[in-house]
Amino acid sequence: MTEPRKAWFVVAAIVIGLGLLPVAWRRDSYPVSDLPMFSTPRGRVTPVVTAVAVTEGDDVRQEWRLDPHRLAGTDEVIEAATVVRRAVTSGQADRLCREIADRVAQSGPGEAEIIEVVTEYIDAIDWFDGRVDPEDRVVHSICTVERSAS
Amino acid sequence: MNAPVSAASAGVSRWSRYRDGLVAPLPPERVAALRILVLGYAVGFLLVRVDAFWASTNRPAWRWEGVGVLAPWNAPPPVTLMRGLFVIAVISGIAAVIGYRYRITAVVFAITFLIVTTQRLSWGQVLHTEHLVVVHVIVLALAPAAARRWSLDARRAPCADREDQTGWPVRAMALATVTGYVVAGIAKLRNGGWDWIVGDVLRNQIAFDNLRKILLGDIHSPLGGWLVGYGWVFVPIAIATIVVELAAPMAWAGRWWRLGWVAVAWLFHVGILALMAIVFPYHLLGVAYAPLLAPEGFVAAAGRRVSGARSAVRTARRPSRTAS
Repeated sequence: MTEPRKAWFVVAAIVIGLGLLPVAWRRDSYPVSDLPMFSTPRGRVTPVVTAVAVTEGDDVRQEWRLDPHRLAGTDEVIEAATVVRRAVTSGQADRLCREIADRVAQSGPGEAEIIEVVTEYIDAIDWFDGRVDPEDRVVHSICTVERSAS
Repeated sequence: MNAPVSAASAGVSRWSRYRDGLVAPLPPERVAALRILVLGYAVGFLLVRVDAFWASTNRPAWRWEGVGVLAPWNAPPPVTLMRGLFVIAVISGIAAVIGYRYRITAVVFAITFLIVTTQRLSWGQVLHTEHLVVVHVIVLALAPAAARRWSLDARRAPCADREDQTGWPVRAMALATVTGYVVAGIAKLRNGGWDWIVGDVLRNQIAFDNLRKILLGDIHSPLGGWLVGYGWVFVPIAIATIVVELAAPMAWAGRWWRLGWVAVAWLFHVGILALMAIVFPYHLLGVAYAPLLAPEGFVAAAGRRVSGARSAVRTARRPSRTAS
C-alpha cells in the first residue's frame, strides 16, 4: 500500500520548514538552530577570556592555567569558556572569581594564592609558531584562595 | 517534431517515477532498525554522559539561560525534578528500544530526552551535537510502525505484513539529516561571507579552537595546530566543506549519489575530529546517516550474532549428559 502522497509532502514540508526557520530567524536554539558553528569571522588576534591561578612568592610570579572543572565545574571546554566570558560581560566576574577560588582551594593547585579572571589577546597562528606571549592582557577580577586551617 | 515531445514525456515519466518512489512503502524492518539504532544511541548517550547530565542539574542559578522548551523558565528547574526526568528517560528509552509498549514509551522517551538535553544546554552555550539526535527521536516517537518488527510488542501481538506508515518516518529522518547540513552551509556563507571560502576565517577558527583547548587543559588536535602554519591549505578545505554541506540534497538524487554523499559527509566529520578534536559521535558512528541507507541488514546480522553468542553460552553452560 502506498502512503498518501499529500500526507508525505506535508511531512516533508514540516521537516524542511522547521529546519530552515531558524535560518530566517537567525536563532541558535535547541533542537532547531541555524547551526552557526565555525562560521563566525575571527581575526588572528583573538580574545581568550579565562582565569588563572597565581602565586607571587619571593618576587617570582608563577601561573597555572585552569581546566574546565575548576573554571566552571564542568568537563565541557566550550561551556567553561562561555561561563567565564558571560561572567565578564555581565559584571559577574567577582562572583565567578570567588567560585573558582573555592574550587581551587579544594582541588589545587595547592600553592595557588590568588585567582585572576583575565582576557588575553593572543595571535592564535603565531602561538602555534612558538610566539606564545599575549599581545595584551586585561584583568577583570582578582580574589584570594582561602583554605581552611585544617 | 516527435523528438521533443517524447523527451518531454520521458522527463515527466522520470519525475513521476521519482515522485512515486518518494512515497513508495519501505520494508517495515527498516524503520524498526532505525528505532533500535537511533533510540539505542540516544539511551547510550545519556548513560555515557550521565556525570555531565547529573552535574548540569546543580549549577549556580545565575548562569541559567534557558533555551528551546525551557526558554520560558527564568531559573533552573529543581534538581530532583531534572534527575527524576533523566531516570525516566533512561527507563522509557530502553523500553522503546526493545519495543515494549512502544506507543507510550517512545513518546515518554522523546519528551524526557528533549527536556534533559535542553536543560544541559541551558547554561549559556548551545552545543550542536544533539540537535539531529533529538529530531530523529521525535520522528520515531510519532511512528508506531517502528515497533512492528523486532519488538516485544510484535511478539505479543504479531501484526499482519503491513507496510503502510513505514516509509514516512524513514524519509522524514533522512530529510532532517540533509536539511541540517544545508543550514550549516548557509550559516557559514551568511556569517563569514566569501571570506569563509577564500579568506582566513576557517584557519583562524581552527587555530583559536585548538588554542583555547590547550589553554583550558583539554585535548586538542596537534595536526590542526601544525597545519594552521600553512594558510593555503584552508581554501580547498573550506571549499570541500561548503560543497559537502550545500550539496547534501544530492543524497536524494539516487542510490549512488546517496552513498557517495554519505561517505564524503562522514569523512568531513573525520576531518573535524582530526583538525579540531571535536567529536560528533552521532555522525561518526554512522547513525545520523542510517535513514539514508538500508540499515536493516546490518541490524539483522548483529541480532543473529547476539542470539548465536547467547545460544553458544547456553550450550556451554548446559551439563553434558554423556559426562560421567
